[in-house]
Amino acid sequence: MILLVFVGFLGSGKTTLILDLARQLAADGRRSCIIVNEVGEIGIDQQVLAESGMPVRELVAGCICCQITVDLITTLQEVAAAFAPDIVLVEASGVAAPPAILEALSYYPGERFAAVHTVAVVDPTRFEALHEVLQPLIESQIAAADRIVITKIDEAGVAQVAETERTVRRLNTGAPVDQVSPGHSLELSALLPGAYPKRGR
Amino acid sequence: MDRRPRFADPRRLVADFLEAVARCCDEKGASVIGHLKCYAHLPEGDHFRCSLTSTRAGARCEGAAGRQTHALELDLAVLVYGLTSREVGACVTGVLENLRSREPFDFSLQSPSTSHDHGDDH
Repeated sequence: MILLVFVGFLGSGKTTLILDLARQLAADGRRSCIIVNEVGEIGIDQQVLAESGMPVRELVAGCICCQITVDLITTLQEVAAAFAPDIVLVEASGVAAPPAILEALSYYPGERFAAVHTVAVVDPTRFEALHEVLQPLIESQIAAADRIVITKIDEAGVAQVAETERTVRRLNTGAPVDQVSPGHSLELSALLPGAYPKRGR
Repeated sequence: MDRRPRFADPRRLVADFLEAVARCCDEKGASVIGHLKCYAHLPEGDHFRCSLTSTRAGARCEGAAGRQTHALELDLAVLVYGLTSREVGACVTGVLENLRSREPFDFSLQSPSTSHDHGDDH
């Protein structure tokens, strides 16, 4: 079971990105499911993600990095038993710090994960302002990522995107950086090159 | 004849609602507008969603509901920094009252916001 953990501040575009990837997985017949965590009392993203047709499990009213880590583990056990998925897409809350999530995952008692990839999702239209006022959280999300996806490039100015990419590359020198927009999506083959061959092969 | 109020453009109404709530949060001193988002259910079975991350960019809606309707059920999340749940709730109620002057309707709030002091856990 491969885990793709999506982190990124509130409104950065995690749900939209996951919905797009879920549709790719569904189209390719992959056994997959989604676990979504929201800090609010009422889950909105779960309803959006359910549009993919993929099984969705919702963790609300707390953050999986600190308050409901046990719920994340038990939910992973539950989906593993129910669906035996090849890939689980985990949407962390927008205020989650990735290191704590990754530590929590180390307590998963089931079969060892084939891989755990952390994807940081960044909104260039607000990056500079958010980085200024929420620096520890924003930097923690970027620094822990195996891959960084800059979203909303159709809404941002060219200079905003370029400056965002410069900063995230400085904060995480090892992670590849992608840019996406509604007309330019991210392919799973880019996200999981070893486990997911390019389309058309 | 059906005398229930009609929302001529439910998506526009909800977008205006989110934008007004965000402006209210700004005016009350929210330090960061995190994310305002909602999922709207219509009695006809349609649904759509709207999202806002800044007052400048405004709300974006996707999904069905291009036609008028007589009722809307909204699941709403207002995720902002720097305001109490009471202040956010007051914004939501105040904006609904204001919108009623444009298109008369009744509303009820079923689940008030709650505070979430996530920052204290790190």
